[in-house]
Amino acid sequence: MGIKVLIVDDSKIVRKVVSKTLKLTGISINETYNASNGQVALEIMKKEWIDIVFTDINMPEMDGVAMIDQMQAEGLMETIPVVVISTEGSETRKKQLTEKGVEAYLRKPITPEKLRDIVKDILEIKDEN
Amino acid sequence: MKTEIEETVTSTYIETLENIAFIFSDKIDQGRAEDKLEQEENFYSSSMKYSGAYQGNLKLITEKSLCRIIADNMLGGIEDESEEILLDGLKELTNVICGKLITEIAGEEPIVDLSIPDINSVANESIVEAIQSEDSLSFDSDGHLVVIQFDIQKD
Repeated sequence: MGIKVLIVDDSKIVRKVVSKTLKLTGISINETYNASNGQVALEIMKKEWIDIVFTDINMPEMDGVAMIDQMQAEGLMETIPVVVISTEGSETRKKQLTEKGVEAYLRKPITPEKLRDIVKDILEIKDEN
Repeated sequence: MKTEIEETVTSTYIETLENIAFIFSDKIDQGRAEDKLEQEENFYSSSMKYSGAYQGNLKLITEKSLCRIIADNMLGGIEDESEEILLDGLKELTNVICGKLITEIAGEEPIVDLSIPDINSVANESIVEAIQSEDSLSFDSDGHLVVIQFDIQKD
């Protein structure tokens, strides 16, 4: 079957890197959706089934924090797990986002091992072996 | 640039470029940087501002040919050689360096808001000024010139 993921980042190269890193985790991916900002991501979330969202914070138009606030307001945080992938290292920011319902906060650069452990943990995917 | 800031910028830049694009770098002096500048053209700058508990700017200047290598190494091979992809690699490098530098200097408590990296092409004459400025450091990254200007002030 595989999971459906949404990658939100204004950088095309980062979206490709996250997508490639996800493939390296060995987790079965059914569909990868891409969004260049929070607004585009919200539109996709309303139209498509999404199993997990990976988002940057710092983006034009609608940033990651505003997108998470909107997801909270629309009840989407209860059904779609969100993982933040950011360069920012502030523990205060991390705490704020965790309080809003963010499942995990990863600092760039990300590794397949870290990503695999987090996705498996959040989606409760068991090892095949 | 203060010695401790200089050391932090140097180690952060070298480690980040190595981690995200497998490119090795050495810090070089002003004279070598100016010599390298004469051999190259087609430079881009990527600038970020930060505000909140700390304020300042980070500017990274490099050759387009290095942008291509960065993008290629980040992706493990590029199928799409568009300007967008090449400059996206430079933007991402600036973004990661900026985030790491601020955490190194400000610690993990304060929230510092980062701007989106702004990309511009730069004339060689402006790069001479950047190399000679007190807040800059120059590097040789895989044979390519990189100039970093960085300043930070506490609110």
